[in-house]
Order: sequence, then structure tokens, then C-alpha cells
Amino acid sequence: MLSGGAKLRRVMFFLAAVTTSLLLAACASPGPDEHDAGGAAEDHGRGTAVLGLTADLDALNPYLSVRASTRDVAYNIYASLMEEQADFQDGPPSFNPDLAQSWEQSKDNLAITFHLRPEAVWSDGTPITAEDVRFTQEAAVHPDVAWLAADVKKEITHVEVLDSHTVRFTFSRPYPYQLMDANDGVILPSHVWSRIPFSRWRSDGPRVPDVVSGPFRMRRWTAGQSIELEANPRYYDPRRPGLGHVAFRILPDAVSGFEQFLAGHLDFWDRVDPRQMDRVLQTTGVALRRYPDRYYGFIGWNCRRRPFTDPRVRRALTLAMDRERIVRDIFRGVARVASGPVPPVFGTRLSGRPPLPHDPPQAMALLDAAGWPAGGANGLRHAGERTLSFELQVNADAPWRRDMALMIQEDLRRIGVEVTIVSLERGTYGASHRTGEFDAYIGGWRLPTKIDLATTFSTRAVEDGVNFGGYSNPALDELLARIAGAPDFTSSLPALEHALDILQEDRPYTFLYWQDRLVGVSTRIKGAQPNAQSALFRLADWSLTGGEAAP
Amino acid sequence: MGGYIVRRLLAGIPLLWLVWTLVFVVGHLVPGRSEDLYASPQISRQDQERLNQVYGLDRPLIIQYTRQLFATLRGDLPLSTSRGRPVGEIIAPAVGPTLLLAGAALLLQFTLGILLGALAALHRGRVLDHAISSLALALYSIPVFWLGILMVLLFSLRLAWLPPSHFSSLSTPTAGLLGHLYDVGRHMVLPVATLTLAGLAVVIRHARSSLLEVLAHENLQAARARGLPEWRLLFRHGLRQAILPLITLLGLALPALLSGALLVEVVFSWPGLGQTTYQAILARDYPVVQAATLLTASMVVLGNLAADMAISLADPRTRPRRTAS
Repeated sequence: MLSGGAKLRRVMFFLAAVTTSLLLAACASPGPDEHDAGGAAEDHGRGTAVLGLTADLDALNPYLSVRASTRDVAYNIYASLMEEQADFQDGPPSFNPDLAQSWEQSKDNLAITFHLRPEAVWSDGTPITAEDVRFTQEAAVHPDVAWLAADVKKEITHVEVLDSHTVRFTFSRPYPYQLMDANDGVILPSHVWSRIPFSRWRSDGPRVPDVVSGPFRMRRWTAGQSIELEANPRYYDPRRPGLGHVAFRILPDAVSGFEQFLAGHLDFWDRVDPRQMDRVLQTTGVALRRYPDRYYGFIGWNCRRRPFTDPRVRRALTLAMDRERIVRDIFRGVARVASGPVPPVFGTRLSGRPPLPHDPPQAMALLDAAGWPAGGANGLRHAGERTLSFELQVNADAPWRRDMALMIQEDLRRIGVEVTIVSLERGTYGASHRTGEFDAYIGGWRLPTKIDLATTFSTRAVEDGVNFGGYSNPALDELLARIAGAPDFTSSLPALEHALDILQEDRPYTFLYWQDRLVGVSTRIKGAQPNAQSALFRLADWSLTGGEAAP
Repeated sequence: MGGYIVRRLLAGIPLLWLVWTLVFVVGHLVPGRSEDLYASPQISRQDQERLNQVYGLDRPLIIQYTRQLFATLRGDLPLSTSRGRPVGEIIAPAVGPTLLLAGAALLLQFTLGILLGALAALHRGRVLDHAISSLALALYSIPVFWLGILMVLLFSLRLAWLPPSHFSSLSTPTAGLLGHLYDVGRHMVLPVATLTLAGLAVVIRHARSSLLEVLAHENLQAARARGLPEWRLLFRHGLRQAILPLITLLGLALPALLSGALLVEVVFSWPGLGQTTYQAILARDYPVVQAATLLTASMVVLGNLAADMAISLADPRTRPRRTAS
């Protein structure tokens, strides 16, 4: 029989042994869920830049991804046919050569032929060929791959390999965005991915791409921690990239990311809140960049529910809101009052309509005319027994929307309308829109670089798009069909302008603001040109002025 | 003893099944599906539905439940709906960091907690006792995530002594294993300290009350009468007798520690099970939530078993006996 002291020692030894083994086991591994592409880190003497991300990637094959953050990384390790430019004001963007050194459109505008660079090779030395392009297009629309943006390829009927470096895309009809749709998505190495059936891409595909074509190749991806890229020595342009090593640090939230940027742990942070502007300006070694975004904020009305079935009510509520105050107090002037769903970054012709003014007397007159006179219970407007009141939903993870809702609540109370603010968790908030279980919600859309009103406002979009409020106007549907069928952008403009007039009249949304984006950049970084196309626009052309990497 | 362990492990199976089922049911009662999180004018409903088909989310719930249950039993875990990869590949790497964090915090919590509890017991009713009790109460009152944020603000952003987040620094190929261990150690300090401090009060209070009870016992009165110094009495005799309730507390502390680790991992970007579960909940990724919960529940079952074994090592009277037939 053991003595008391021996028993105690035995227990303590047992606990210490278990804990120490756990500590060593966890510590000795190089890192959690770490995928190493192998080889020593090469920075080619060009330095390391550390950029912040608030969400980890889900996949490095962009066709399997549902997260926007993947795009920032994947588009720098895989090249596309062309490099989309940020000049999409007043029409589709232009393109610079990338893997395709040239292209031409057929006389009937139903086909585009791309000529690939003969010198372009994958990072394993295999030439990049037309078959890679054809295979990628096949994957992009395959149901087993289930790419979330497959819809952009729906007008492409055929992709044909003409020779090893020439490939032709055939379209069902001519339209303004053919080049853009052909180019959307990156080109994948067919000699890697064709070995795996499409249905097994998610379970058996390579986790970290070791065969890439972009200016960078993957160095390491540590889930939830960081993604590290290094210069791809086999990239077709030996002058690029300017950075030897790029590390994306994944941060728990925007506040933490901002603080780490100010503390010098990050060189680039693209989520600076307008309320944080002054702190960036007061900090040495960092600069603030501002650019107009492709984003607009709005209140979506449920047009199936009374009183929002009546466009006069929707217009009256818009007139009663002091949107200038929202822009001034919440966005500190880093936004402007919106007059429609096309932000100014798409050109003044489509965004130049003056917004409805803040005019409470006119709002009250409109509500009177719509059958909602003042004088009901608690000073509210009413129609018979029913008072004019509704629930305004906001998502709880966007505190600025809650602030906005409070301002709107105050404005509408002044004209006798009661607003109850309902703050919902993100998934619940999204579900209530999909199922139509809402009166009104504050939301926002970031648009692609093409103007497409149909996915948001057409009657078809009630079933197939994001027309959650059930808005329907046959005249608008007809115009949208005409826009979709226009062979070029210029010929679609009159219908587009008319459609915007209808939306301004009908107000299925109250367009609240067009927001500019603020980006913090370390002064070490040269060549950063964040813009509405991408905050990381032409990352391959960035370089460092010198100094140590952020820790 | 072997039979006892097997029986205990078998008894844990229905519990784990219940937990797994509960998470499935509750998960599907919550409004919202994964596609509600990425709705956009750029994504058509048709493309969303194709993705749902790939993950089997278009099937009736009972079919989804049955398929997932049998797949889990076969060890063939389903695909994560937010990351498009097999669940096992997402969960497995998160286990080590959580064990590291929780293990270190557990060790520190009990070492410091017992020491401070002993000091408080030795100085019962005096300034030190009150100071320790007040400290314990203060720590107990601060929410763990808030404590974490304060730590980051003070030690990382203000004083720049320690890294504010993550498991390790960006790759340092020349650092070697020792350099890596040092680097991980530096990154561990704040999350481990946060988790330790958050649970310290309970251990201090338990240790203090257990020791006071033991110190008042007759046989220790006799030792005291023989002139044995109070500290020696405490550490040679008192602690030994007070250890049993503390080991019981160790078993009970594990679930609290793992749930505390969830918040700490989120605040510090610590890539463990808590962070993985949190992200999966936000993304409505039920396969990952179920697998992570199952694993956490298994850890709790095993932790309790380990605590029971430790008790039986310390006190043979508590060992399971064979009953005569």
C-alpha cells in the first residue's frame, strides 16, 4: 500500500504527464492545418508585404469557393485570359492582355477568338494551352462543380480548341458583356484537375495549388491564420511581381484588423471605417486612400405587404428620411445620398439623377393622398383601424445599420409613422428575406462591374434573383429584356435610363447612400492602386520602398 | 479497472449520439441556410440550388440525418458546406491548438488556484485572504472575451510586449524547431493567461474551502499540537487530503474550460475547435458544428473518466469493486 505522499505524487505525475504530452504534441507540429507548397521561401530580395483579411479562404480553386476573400488570393496565383481594367464608367471595362496576348471578335459578333502567349507556362513547366481554357470552361458550368457564378457563362454555347494556343468562344447572341463573361474566372491546369472527376473535386482535389500560372505561387496556407504567397519564378512576365513575398493575415474582426494595422503589424487594411479616418491620418507611416465603390445601401420594401403595395407610400417614406444626415453622421461624408441602384463609379450618365430631397411636408401630403391621414392613436397615421407602423430589419453584425435605423425611426416618427427596429443574426436576417417574412430591411449590394438591374428588380428575379420584396412592373420587365438583348452598351442606354426612371418613380427600394471605400496603406508600399475593380488591383505591380516586413 | 474503463466508454456512446442528434435538430430549427449568407445579385437561385444538391441539402431532413449518421459511424465524415472540404480535414488540425490552450490553462489554473487557495486558507480572515478573495471575485465577474480584449489592448497594442493574436508568426524558415516552439510560446501567453484567469476564481474558492475543512480536522489538530508549523501542516497533510474534491473539480472544469476556449480562440484568432465551431455556426455549416460538438463532448467524457481514474489512484476506497456473484 502506498503512503499518502506517494499517492499525491502519483496523481500529480499522472496529470503532469498528460498535460506535458498534450503541450508537446500540439507545439511540435509546424502549425494548425498547414499546407506547405514545399521549397524554401523565396523573396528574390523584393521584400514581404503583409495584408489583412477578415475571413479565411474556403478553397483555392475559385470554382469551388463561396467566399469573396478567395478571389483576392486566387486571382493572384492563377492568371486569366485578360486583365480587367477599372474603366467601367459609361460602359463595359476594357481589358489588357494576360494569358491571351490578343483576341478578335467575329464579324457577326457571335464568336471571340483568343490567341494565348506561347511563352506562358504553368509553375511546373508545362505549357499553358488552349485545352486548359476549354477544360476550365467545361468545369465552370458543370453541375458537379456547382460554381456559384456559373450563370455568367450561360450565353457561351461552345468553346473550341483551334490549335494549341488558339481558342474560340461562341455565344448564343451578341451582347455588351461578351468579353467579360468569357474572361470571368481563372484558367486552371487541366493536367492537374482533369485527373479528378468533377464530382470528386471537393473531396479529392489538391488543397493547395502547387501548379499555378499567376505572378505569385502558394508558399503556405495555415487555416484560420495566414496565406503566404511568393513570387512565381515561371510567370511569363519576368519583371513582375514587384513583391517577393505576400502574406495575408487572417484577423478575427474588423476592429482587431484596424488596430493591428495602426500598430504596424499589417501593411494594408481595406476595411477602414469612416469613424476611424482621423486615427489613420494621425498615425505616421500609413496613408489613407479613398475610392468610390460599386456599393449602394438601401431599404428594401416588401411590395407584397400593405402599406408598401402603394408606390406613393414608399415615395413618401423616402421623402421623410434625412439621408444627408445619415451620410454626414454615420459615414462622416465618405458617401453620398443615392438616387438609384447605379453608383457614380459607373459614370455620371446613369447616376446623375438628383436624389429625392428631404421634404417632410410633401411626404405627409403624399401619405394623406394615399389614405393614411394623421390623427390616429398615439399620433400615428392610420387607415381605418390600422395604424401606419412597420418593422425595419437590420443585421446585428452591422452596427452602423442599427444607427441608421434609429435615425430613420426618428424621422418617420415626426410624420406619424411608427418603426420598430428588429436586429437579427445574419443568417436569420437573410432567411427572412428569402422567405418574404419582412416589412422592410436595410441592406446593401456590391455590384459586379457590369450593370444588371434584372437580377434585382425584374419579376423573374422574385424566383431566380434577389427581388425579395416581390416588386413587379411589366413595363420595367420589358425594358430589362430590351437591355439584355441589346448587342452593345450604347444601344442599351436609352432603355437603361428609362428603367432607372421607373425605379425612381416606383421606389421598390429607398436608395440610401453610395459609399466610398477607405483603405489604409503603409507608406512602405509603392504602386498600390486600390479602386472599385479591386482593393488589391494589380498586386503584381506593388513593391516595397525598403524596411523590415511587418511582424 | 480495464472493464470499468470499457463500461464507462460504452456508457458514453448514447450520450454522444444524443449530443450529435440534438445539434442536428437545433441546427435545423434555427432559421437560415448557408445560401442566405452569400445572397447577391451576382448569384442566381439556380446556381445556389446546384450547390445545395452537391451537399445533399436539397434532401428531406430525415434523409440528411440518416445519411450523416451512418457516414459518421463509418468514419466517412461529410463535406463542410462552407469550406467544401471533408469535415475531418477541417476538424483534425483544430484539435491540437485547443488541447494546447486548454491543457496549459488547466495546468496553470490548478497550480495557481491551489497555491492562492492555500495562501488564503493559511491567512484566513486576514488581509491576504481578503485580497485573494477579492481578486478571485473580480476575475470571476469579468466576461472572458472582455478580459481577452483588455489583454490585447494592454500587452500587445499599448506595451507591444506580446503578439496580439494567432498561433504563430508568419513563416520563419530559418528559425528551426526551438525557434518555432519559442514563437508558439509567445503567442500562447495572452490566450492562456486569459483562460487561466477566467477560471481561476473557482479553483481558489474550492481549494480554500477544502483546505480550511481539512485543517480543522482532529488529526491535524493533533499534529498542530505537536508543534508542526502551519505551512508544513498545510502542504504535507492538508493538501493531500484536500486533493480529492479538487480532482473532482478538475473533471467538472473541463467543459467550462472548453466553452471558455471558444471565446478566447475567437478573440485571439487561435485556430482551435472553438474558433472552427464559431465560424461554422455563423456559416450555417452543420456538418462541421456536429463534428466539432461530438469531439468536444468526447473530450469531456474522456476528461471525466481521467478525473475518476485520478481519484481512484489517489484514494483506493473509490476504486470500482468486483461484486460477488
